[in-house]
Amino acid sequence: MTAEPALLQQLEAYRAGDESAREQIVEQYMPLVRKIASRYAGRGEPLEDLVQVGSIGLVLAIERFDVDRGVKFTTYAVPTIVGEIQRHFRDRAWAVHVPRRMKELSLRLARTIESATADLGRAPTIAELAADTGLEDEEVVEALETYNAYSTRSLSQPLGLGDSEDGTVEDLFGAPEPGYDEVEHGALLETGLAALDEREREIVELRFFEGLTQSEIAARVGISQMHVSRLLRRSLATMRGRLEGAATEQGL
Amino acid sequence: MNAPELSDPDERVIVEFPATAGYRGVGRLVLGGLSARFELPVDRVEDLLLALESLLNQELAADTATLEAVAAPEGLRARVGPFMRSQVEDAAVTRVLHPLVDDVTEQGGQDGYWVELGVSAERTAGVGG
Repeated sequence: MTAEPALLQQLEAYRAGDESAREQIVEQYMPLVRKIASRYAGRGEPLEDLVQVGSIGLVLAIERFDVDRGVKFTTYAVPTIVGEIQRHFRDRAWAVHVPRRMKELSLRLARTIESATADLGRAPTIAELAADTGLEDEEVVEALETYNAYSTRSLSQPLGLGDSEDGTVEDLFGAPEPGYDEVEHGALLETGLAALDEREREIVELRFFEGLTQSEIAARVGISQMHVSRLLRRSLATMRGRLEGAATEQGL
Repeated sequence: MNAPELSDPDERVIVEFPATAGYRGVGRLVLGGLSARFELPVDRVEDLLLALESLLNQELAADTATLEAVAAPEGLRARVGPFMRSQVEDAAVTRVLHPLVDDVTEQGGQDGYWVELGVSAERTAGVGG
């Protein structure tokens, strides 16, 4: 049990029905929210909006924190707050920057790729997708980019914490998977891999260590090829963020 | 424009864009558009674009990134740079690039390092003429 005793009392009181106890916790941890939000300032969203979104993450963390997990509250709360802020950026990017037609095209394309892959036994070409959807080749490329850009907008964010609500810092930055010591030049990748959630790590391992294609990974994991591509992009960005931002993380 | 020219100037596209995250999509769109001229499964196209993006995240030796792509008879080649440091000597970079494309080469120049990515593929019938 590593949660702070005073916090435990407050959580206990809140869960017994004392709403003011939650307010006290929120007030106590708002400086943390503000600190995290400030790292995302200057990216087109007002700081106060980011603080507000981050505070939603804080409330979620209060709601979901399990004192029996034996981790500090901040360990659990930080990725939850970051996840909410990243989601805000992602949603805003989708809502503001992507025309409705392109959103619809990219989602339609995702379905077409899935069915064409099943029909052909391999991933379709751009030309085949264009023929199937009645789009120009360039429109297919643009829709692919749209699909990826929508979800990877948050990836260039500095923290590299991923956006899992349920993950803890230990989950995200825990010990690397064993067994890669033998891989030539693998040390840096190991450090990066530790920043990924379980599914991202599995996909990166399948692509970069086992050499499966995106379509093969899609079939094995049970998701679409486009989703695999998206997760690969996100994972590499997260790994970069982990490597570049390690010192910053330790300061949180 | 300091990018060394690729050997085959046929159907060459050159684009120069600000070396900031917000413009990387421009490079991806250009390379993706050129890749549509080949019989490349979409997952290989995505791999190529992922390789490009990984490179564009490295430190450049200029304020702008330059992408030079050629639709050659034997496949697609893309040269990108100039980078501040050698990329092929960076194990973390090459560990990512090699599974994604068929070959990776590098050329050092006065203005920095240029990485060339190659993907072998058949041309799509009826385009490029």
